[in-house]
Amino acid sequence: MSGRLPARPGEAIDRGRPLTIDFEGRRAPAFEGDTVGSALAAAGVTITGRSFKYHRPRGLMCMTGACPNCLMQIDGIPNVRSCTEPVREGMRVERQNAWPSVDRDVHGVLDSFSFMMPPGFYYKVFQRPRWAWSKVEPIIRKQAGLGKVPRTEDHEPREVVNLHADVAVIGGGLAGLAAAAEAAAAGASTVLLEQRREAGGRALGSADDVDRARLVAEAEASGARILLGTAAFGVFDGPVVAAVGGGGLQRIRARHLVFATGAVEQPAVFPNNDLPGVMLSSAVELLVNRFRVLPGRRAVVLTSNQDGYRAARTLRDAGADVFVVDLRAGAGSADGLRVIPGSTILSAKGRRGVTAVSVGAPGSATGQSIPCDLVVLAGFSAPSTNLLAMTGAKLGFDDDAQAFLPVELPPDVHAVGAVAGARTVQGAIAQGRLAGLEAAAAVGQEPPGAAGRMEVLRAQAAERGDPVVLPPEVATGEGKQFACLCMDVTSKELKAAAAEGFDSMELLKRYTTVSMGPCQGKACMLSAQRLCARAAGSSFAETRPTTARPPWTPVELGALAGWRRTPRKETTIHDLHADSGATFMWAGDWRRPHHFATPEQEVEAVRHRVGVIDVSTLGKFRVKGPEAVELLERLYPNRFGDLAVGRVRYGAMLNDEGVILDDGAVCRVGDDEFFVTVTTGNTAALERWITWWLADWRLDVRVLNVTGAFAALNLAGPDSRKVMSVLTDADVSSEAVKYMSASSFEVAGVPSLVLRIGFVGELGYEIHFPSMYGEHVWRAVMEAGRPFGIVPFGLEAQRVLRLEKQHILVGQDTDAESDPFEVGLGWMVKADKPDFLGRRALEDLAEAGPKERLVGFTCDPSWLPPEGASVVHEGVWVGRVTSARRSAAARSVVGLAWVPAGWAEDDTEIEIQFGGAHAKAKVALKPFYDPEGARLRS
Amino acid sequence: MHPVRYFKPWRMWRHHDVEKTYDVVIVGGGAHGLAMAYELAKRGVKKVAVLEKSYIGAGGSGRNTTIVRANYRTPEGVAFYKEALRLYEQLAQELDYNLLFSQQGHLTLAHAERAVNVAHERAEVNRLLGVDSRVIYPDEIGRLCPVLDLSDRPAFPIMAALYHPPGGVIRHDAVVWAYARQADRMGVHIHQDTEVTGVVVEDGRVAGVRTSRGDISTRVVVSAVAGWTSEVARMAGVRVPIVTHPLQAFVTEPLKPFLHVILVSATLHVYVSQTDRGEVLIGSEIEPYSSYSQASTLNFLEVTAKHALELLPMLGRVKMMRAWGGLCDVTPDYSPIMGLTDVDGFLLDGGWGTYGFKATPIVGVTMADLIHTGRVPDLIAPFAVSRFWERRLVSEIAAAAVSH
Repeated sequence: MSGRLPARPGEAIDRGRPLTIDFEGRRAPAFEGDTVGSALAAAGVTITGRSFKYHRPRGLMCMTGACPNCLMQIDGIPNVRSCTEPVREGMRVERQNAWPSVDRDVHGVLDSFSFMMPPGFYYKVFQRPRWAWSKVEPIIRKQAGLGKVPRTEDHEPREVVNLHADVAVIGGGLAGLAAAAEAAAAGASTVLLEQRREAGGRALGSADDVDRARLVAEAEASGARILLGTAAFGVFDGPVVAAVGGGGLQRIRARHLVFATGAVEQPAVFPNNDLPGVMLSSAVELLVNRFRVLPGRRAVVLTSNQDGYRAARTLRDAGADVFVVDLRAGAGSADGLRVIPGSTILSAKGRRGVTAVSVGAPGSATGQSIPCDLVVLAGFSAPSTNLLAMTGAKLGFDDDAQAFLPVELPPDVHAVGAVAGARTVQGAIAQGRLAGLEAAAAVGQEPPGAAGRMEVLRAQAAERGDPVVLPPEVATGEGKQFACLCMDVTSKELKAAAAEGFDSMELLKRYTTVSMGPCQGKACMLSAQRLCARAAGSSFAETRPTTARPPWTPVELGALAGWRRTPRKETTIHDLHADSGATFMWAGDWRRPHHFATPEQEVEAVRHRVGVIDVSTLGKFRVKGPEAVELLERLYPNRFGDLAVGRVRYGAMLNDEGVILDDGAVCRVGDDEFFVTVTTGNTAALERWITWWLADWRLDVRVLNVTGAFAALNLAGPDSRKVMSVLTDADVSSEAVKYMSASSFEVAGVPSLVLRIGFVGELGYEIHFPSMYGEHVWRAVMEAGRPFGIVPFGLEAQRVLRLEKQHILVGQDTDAESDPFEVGLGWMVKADKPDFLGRRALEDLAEAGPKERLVGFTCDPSWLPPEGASVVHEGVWVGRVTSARRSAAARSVVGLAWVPAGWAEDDTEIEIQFGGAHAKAKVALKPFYDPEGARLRS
Repeated sequence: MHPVRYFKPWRMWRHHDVEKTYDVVIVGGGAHGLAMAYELAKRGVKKVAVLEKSYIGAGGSGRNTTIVRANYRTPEGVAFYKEALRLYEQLAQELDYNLLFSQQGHLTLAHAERAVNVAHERAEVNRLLGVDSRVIYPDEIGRLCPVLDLSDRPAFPIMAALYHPPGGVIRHDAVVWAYARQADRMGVHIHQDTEVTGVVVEDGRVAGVRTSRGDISTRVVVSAVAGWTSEVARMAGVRVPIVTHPLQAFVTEPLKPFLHVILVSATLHVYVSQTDRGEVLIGSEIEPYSSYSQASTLNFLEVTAKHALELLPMLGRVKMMRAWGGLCDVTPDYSPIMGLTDVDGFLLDGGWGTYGFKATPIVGVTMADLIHTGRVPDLIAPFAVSRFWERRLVSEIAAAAVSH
C-alpha cells in the first residue's frame, strides 16, 4: 500500500466517505471522489494492464482517459478507462488481456520473441501451402482483442437531446471557461461542453487553484449552460456537434462554435518508454494534488518548459526525491531543484516497473544512470485539432509550437487556447474571452465597452509563449522504443516498414497499425507523426496529418442508438385476438394473428359462410387538395382523373425503373380527396416516397398518414352481406353498395368508410373506422355474425384465399426487378396520359417485352414445394416459386412462380425442384377459384 | 514454409520518374488497377503505368469491409462471383503474400417468412451452380453464432439464415499491396501522388494523359477509379450513367473474439463481423443520396448503431472507435461497366457499386485479356457501357438488395 498523502484543500476525494471496490476478487479501499485508477494507485497497484501484442506490463500514464494503458473490464463492461472512471461501492474491476493474470501473464513471453513478429510478418508467412493459414488463423485470432464482450444487454437510460444555442464552446479548460463566460455575460445563449466531471482542463491538477476557481465561478455566474461529463465526439454537416453525456446523445446546433479543446500531453520516445512508472505530468499532478497519491519516491522529470518544473515542485513538496532533465542547454532552477540541463533520457530500465534511467546529451551513446521509480514526461503536447478539423478548418505546421495548428477557420468557427497554439495561461484566457465577445457580438449581443476590451484582449491573445523544444524523435539506447502504445508499434518497426515501401503516414498506419488502437492517435500523435516522417525520410513539418474522423472520444453504441430501439405495434383489437387464443406472428413492426382455429377451418368458413380479419395494419393515406388527382396521376401508371366519387380503383406505384413498389386501393371520397391504402410493411417507405415527390413537384396537396387513426376489418364470405345488414341501417344491397365502391355509413353505430373490394375473392366489405372503436366494432361484427357461423381468420388463411385467386403480394411474389407487364398488371399502365413515375422505363420494357413472367401453377398435393424452390429445365435453373399452398378448393397445390416468358401458357409443364425433391407442375394463368370473379361481384 | 524469409525487409514497390510514354496507363491505384497491371505484366505487356492521385489503396480498396462471397441470387451473378471467389482462394499463393483470407462463413439472416423464401431461392440457385450455400435454422445458427438471440422475442426474430461456408473476409490492404508488389517486380511503374488532370483524345482516339507530374503519351488509358469514374470518363469525353453514393462503416474497440461468422441482415440494413484484431466491424447499405463526401454522418452512426444493437444487444456498452466512409459508383442496373468505349483506347472499369472489391481478381484477368488481345472476354461482354443506349441492361438490382 502506498497510501495517501495528508489532506489538502481542493483535493477531489472525500475522506469522510470511504468505500470498497472489488479488484479481481480482492477488496480495495477507496474514497468517494476517487477514480478507479487513483484508488488502485493508492492501493499500490502499478500494473494496470498488458499490452495488445507483446503483453508487456503497462501502468497509469495519463490519468485523463487519453492513453490505452488502464483499460479494464468494469462491472462487465470492456475497455473502460479506469483512470477517469469514478468509483462506486462494490464495483467489480478486472484487468484485461492476460492469462492467468495481469501480474503473471504467461503471454508476456511474446515480448522476448518479438523479433519474430515484425509488423506485417503475418503477410509474409503461411500463404503456402494453401491450407496453412486456415490452420494458423484461429490460433492467432485467439490472441486478439482486449476486453470481453458483455454478457448482457445494455439497460442504461438513453436519451437523445437536441440543444440549440447562439454559442457552443467545446472544452471547459481555462480558455473555454473564459469564452463561455464572456459570451453568456454579453447576453448570447451559451452552452459549454466539458468531457470531465469538473471544468478546468489542464489546470485541474494544478497545486494552485486560483485561475481555475475564478473562471469556474465567473462562467457559472454568467448564465452559460455548463454540461460537465459531456464529451464531444464529432462535428458533422450542419454543423452539428455530437456529444455523449448526461444520460445520452446530445446534438448541439449553435450559430458560433468555439473550439477550446486543448492539447493532449504526449510521451517521449526512448527504450522502454512504456514501463509502468513512466507517466505524463498531467497524471502526476492529478494523482498528487487531487487524489493525494504519491506515484513514486524518486522521480526523474524530462521537460523543456515550465510544466516540468511545476510537476517537479509538486513531487518535491509531496516528499519525493526529484531530478529535472531539461532539454535546454542553459536551463536551471531558481528554487533549488536539481536540474540536468542540455540532456534527455537515453533509455529506461526495469521489468515490472521503471528502476532507472540513463540520462545524457541527445544522441550520445552512454549516459549517467539515475535510479528512480518514476519518470515524468512533462510539457510535450499535441493540440487536439481533430474536432476542429471536422469543421473544415485548415491546419498548418507551426515552427514555434512544433505542431499543426489551425491556420484557416470556416466562418463562425473560433479556436482558442492550446488548440490554437496558446502556450501561456494568460494568453489562453485572453483568446477565450476575445472569442466569447466576438461570437456574442456577431449574434447581436455586444455589451457596452466591448470594442475597447477586445482591443486589449487582442494584444494579450497574441502572446504565445516560448518556442517548444521537443525531445529527439528516438533515443540511442537498447530496447523497444514505442511510438504507439495501443498497438505496440516501435520506432524500429516503422523504419523497417518505410524501407519496404510503406513510406507515407497513411500507408504506415495501415501496414503497422500505428495509431489505430483504442486511443486512435490521441496519446501517440506526436511520436507517431514524427517517427513516420523520420522513417519516410521527410520532416515532421512535411507530414500530412491523417484525416480527422469521428469519434474523437470513443462512444458507446447504446448512446448512439438512443432510446428503445424497435417499435412493436399492435392494433386496437389486439387484446381481443389474444383472448380468443390467436397465434401471433410478426408482420413488419406489427404483431398480427397468424391463425385462430386452424387455417383450413378458417378458409372453409370464408368460402362457405363468413369470416372476418383485422386489417388495421394496412397503410392508409388521406390525400387532399386541389391537385390531388394530379399527384396520383404522377405517382401511379393508372388513371384517376376519371374515377368517380365513391368509387375504388386498384393501383400500383412504380419507381423510376418501372419496378412495382406497392399496390393497393385508391378510393375517391370527394372531388379533391382520396383515401389510399398500401401494404402494411411498406407504409413508412411509401410515406417517404410520396412526400419526397410532393416536395419536388410542389403540388397543392396534403398527404397524411392516417394508418394509426383508422382500424379496419375485412368482412368476407357469401353471408357477409347478411351480417352487414345487421350491423347497419344503410342499404347494403348489391345495387346500393356496388362492387368497387366506397361508401360512408355507420357500422355498429360508428361512422365508417366501407370499401367493397375482395382480396380473398368473396363478396366482402373492408370497413375503415376510427381506431378507438376497434374492440366495439369487432365485438359487434362477431355478435352479428354468430347466427351465420362467422369465424375470425388470420394471415395464413388470407394467404391461401388470395393465392387461390392469384392475387399477388408485392414483396412476396415480386422483387426489386418486377415490372407490371411481367406480373400481369400491364392493363393498368395508361401510356396515353402525361408523364408519371416509371414511364420512360415502361416504354423500354414494353418494347422489349417481358423476359420472365409470374404465373400460377398447380401440382400434385403429395408435395408442397417450399417458397423459394427452383423451377428447372433439364437441370438448369430457369425460375423460382414465390408462393405455394395446399388448396381445398382446387384440390391441389396452387402457387405462383417466375418462369421464362415463353412458358406463360396454360398447361405448360414445368419442373419444380428443392433440395432432393422435385415435382411436375402445370402453368395455370387464370385464378384457381372463381376465375370469372362472379362471387366477388355478387 | 520459409522460416526465415520474413526477417529481412521485402521490397514492396519503388518510386520511379514519370516517363514520357507508356503502352498502357491505368488511372487509379486501387485493387482493380493494380490487379490489371499485374495481369498485363504477366501477359508480357511492357511499359504499364498505374497513376494514383493519393497513396495506393486510398479509395474503395482500403475502405470496403473486406467481405468476399459468391452466394448471389441471379445465375449470372453467381457465375461471375464464383469465379472471383475461386481466384481469391488461390491468390495468396499466386502473389506470394498472405492475404489473411478467413473463410469463416457468411450468414444472411432471415427475419420474416418472405426472407426465408429468398434464402431458399438463393440456396437453390447456388446449389444448382455448384456454390456451397444452404438454409439453416436456429439450432444450427446457434452453434455457429452463440451470441445471437434466437428466441422469437426480438422484433426481428431470426427465423433462418442462408449459410455460405466459403464466404469470408480477406485483408483488403494486403490485396492491394500484394498486387502492387508483384506488378512492381515485373516492371510496372506505380506512381503515387500523381493525379490525372486530363485525357488527351485526338481524332476519336486516346493520345495521352495530363498529370500533376507532367504529360504522358499513350494509346491505352483504363479508368479504374470507382467513385470518380464519371469524372475521369468526362475527361475523355465519355458519358457514363453513374451516380456516386457514399457508403459508411465503423469499428468498435477491440474485444476478445466472440463472433466467428459474418452476419448480414438485409432487413436491418446492417452487417457485422469481427476482425482478427478483435474490432467489431459494422456496416450498412449505401446512403440514399449522391455525394462525393467520405465523411461520416451522424445519422448513419445513430441508425446503424440502433440496428446493430437489434441484432447484438450486448454491444450496447461497447464503444465505437473509428468511423469512415467511401464512395460507390452506382449504375442504373447495379451492374458494372467494363470494356471499350466510343473513344478508341479509352477503357472503363467502374460502376461497381458495393461489389468492386469482391470482383478484383476476375476484373484483373478479364480486363488484361481485353487489353492484351483486343477481344472482349465473354464474361464481361454484357457489361459494355453501350448497353445503356442499346437497351440491354443487366439487372442485378434484386441481388443488390442484399449487397454485402
